Amino acid sequence: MPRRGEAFLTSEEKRRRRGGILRQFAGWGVMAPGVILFSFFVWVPLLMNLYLSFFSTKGFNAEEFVGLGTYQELFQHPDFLTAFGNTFTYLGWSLLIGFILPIIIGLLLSEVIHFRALFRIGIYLPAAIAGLTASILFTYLFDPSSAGFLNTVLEGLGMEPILWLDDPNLVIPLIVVTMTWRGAGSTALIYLSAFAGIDRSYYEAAQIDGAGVWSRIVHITLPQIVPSMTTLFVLQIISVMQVFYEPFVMTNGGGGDRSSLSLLLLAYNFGFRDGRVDLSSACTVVLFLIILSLSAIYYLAVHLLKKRGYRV
Amino acid sequence: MPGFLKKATVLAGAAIALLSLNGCQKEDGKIHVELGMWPAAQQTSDVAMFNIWKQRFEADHPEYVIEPANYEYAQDTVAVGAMSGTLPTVFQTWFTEPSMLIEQGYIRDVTDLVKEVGYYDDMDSFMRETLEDEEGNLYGIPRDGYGFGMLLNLRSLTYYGLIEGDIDEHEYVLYDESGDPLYPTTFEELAEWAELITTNSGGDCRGTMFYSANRQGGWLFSNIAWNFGAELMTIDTGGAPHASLNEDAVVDALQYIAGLRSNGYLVEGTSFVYNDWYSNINERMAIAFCGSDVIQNAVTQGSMERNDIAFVPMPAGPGGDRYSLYGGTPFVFAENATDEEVRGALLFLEYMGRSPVMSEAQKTAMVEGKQTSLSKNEPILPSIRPWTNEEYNSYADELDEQYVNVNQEYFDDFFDSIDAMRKEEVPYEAQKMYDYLDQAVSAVLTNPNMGREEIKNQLTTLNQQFERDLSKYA
Repeated sequence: MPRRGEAFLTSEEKRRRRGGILRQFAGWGVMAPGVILFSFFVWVPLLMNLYLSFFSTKGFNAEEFVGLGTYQELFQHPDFLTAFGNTFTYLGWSLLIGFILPIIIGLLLSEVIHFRALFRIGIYLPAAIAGLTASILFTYLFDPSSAGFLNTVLEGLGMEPILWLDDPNLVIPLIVVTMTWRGAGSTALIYLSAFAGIDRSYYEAAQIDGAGVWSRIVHITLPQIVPSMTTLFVLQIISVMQVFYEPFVMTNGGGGDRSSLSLLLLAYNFGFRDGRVDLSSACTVVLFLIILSLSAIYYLAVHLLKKRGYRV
Repeated sequence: MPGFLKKATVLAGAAIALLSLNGCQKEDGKIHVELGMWPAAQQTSDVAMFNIWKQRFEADHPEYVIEPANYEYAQDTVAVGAMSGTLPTVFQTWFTEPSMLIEQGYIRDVTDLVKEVGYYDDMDSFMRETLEDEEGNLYGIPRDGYGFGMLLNLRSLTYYGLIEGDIDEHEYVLYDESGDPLYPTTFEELAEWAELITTNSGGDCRGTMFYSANRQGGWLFSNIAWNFGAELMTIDTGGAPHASLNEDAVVDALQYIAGLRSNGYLVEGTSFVYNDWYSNINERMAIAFCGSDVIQNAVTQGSMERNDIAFVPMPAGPGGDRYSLYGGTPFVFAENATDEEVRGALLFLEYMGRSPVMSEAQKTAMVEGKQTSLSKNEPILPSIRPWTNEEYNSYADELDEQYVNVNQEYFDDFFDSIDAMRKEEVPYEAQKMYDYLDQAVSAVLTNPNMGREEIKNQLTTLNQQFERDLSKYA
């Protein structure tokens, strides 16, 4: 419909439009500091990072355009494939441990009748502990010596001590356990609110039909929280792909054997330990593209499922 | 760089620079020197000492103002500091860092100024080389030197029957009647001791530990490999460096470590960094590999009694090779520091007792440094000196005699032999080599049952990677 010209507006409409424009200015005025800060601290570094990845660098200064040369060097670097593989191993373990556990905790919490608030606070409490503190705490728990906390327990049970974080096969799952310990509570609370939003009449109808707890969970609860699950699923992928400080703190920067080296940690090592800002930038661009691809796959899948009538 | 990015960067830099100038009046026409090694506020006795030095310096050199900066060097802040121009004029860094700082342009060439103030010729030539680029330009001043050796926990060694001594009196027998050392002087003897310590303590205390992460494993291992007869890097007739990480001697050294690990003579764990030695030396192991510049950490960080410590030379390998990796902990200068500022910082070193110029200010500061350490009940140890001039060394000897508060006899062998044993790190890409050697050490610690062939194959792969890194120098 063609927009009506100013000449055809009634005085009331003109007043409203002027008010609208003023309101827009006020809105932009309120948003401006945020937009400026966001642009400065997010978009500029992001574009700068992309830009630097095509140059040789000295410090943070671009020296000479090298095209895809830095990417070629990155892909040939012996640590890149290791970090790439490890990052997906983190993802796998995280989906196995960290994705399912909050759903289970949420389900259990939703069934609790007495001391519900106490359990909610208790489950959320680890999230109030700083991530670095949690990492250091678990490093002590996983001390590989016989004087370590868990090894002392094992010894008390007559078992052999375990290398824990020093065991290349255990290190990633144990780091994921640490991350999950801290993060599962807050995710569980999101699920809990999703459970609260489910229409109670579904359960009542199911109970009348004789459905047990398991049937109610499988046929009512889980399908009803699919939108929350899919959102948290993609958020978890994005978060885990950027795992950094846990291996940094818990395994002395990824371990001498690189068994816990992640892509972001590798980028940190390039940029700050080796002074190779170009390689670091290329590494984070690659990580960005991986996350972007995974997110795109997710949205494509959601789109296709919706088209077929699934509730996601 | 695109225009908008440049503008944004300049704006950010300007904002940070403005913030950094907060409270800093520079309209007084004086040259302001920011001192990164200024002690933290809670170190009150050190701060008081630095304030006295500052007053003396400013009285003698009224054209300068010394500004306390207390900069704690960190790999993840130095780049940002350099980029925004907020690094202090002079700051202390780690022994591993100068090559990266030079390569990235974070610190400046001070050759001419160091010559001008008369420090250049008196500087230990080994230490100077570690602070120079390939063209021979100098980028720092050594604070002090370090050489690798073995720190012995004499209390534990006596307790577990390895040496004789009186634990209560802190008196130990380290030499036989003819003056020959009773401590391990070869890696073979070290292995025997490690076994005895582990056995006699029922596993509560182990022989030693090897580092394997943060390039510190490779750093120590390079010294061990040399002593096993390895070269690690060769230079061809054209001057080009070549990697030789897969020599048989390197395999031998790794198998040695694997043997100790598989027998349980090492502290449990496979991923240790350098700092782990002082948290383990008091109870969990009896012998630590470390540099002579951090011996005091056994007391200040590791809760050891200062008279229970001995520091002895690195053991010899099977072929009798015996080296000690040697270098210096440096003071370096921000890239954007002006000549006047650097000159002021260099002159201030004299007032800190850290220069070779034996003026009254220097001598007084050297004494005050020792007295402050004494007042804090810190161990005062002999050290490797960065300056070679006679006047400096004879005065330092005098002070050592007066102030050293540990049993000098337990340190003599190391300091008497260091000149003969010292060996610099490899001249090209040392940090990358340490990174590769980290992986090799880590592999045998994680899987001590690796066969000789398997170790050799891994080293060959690492050698190929290192050779590729070195190819740019061909």
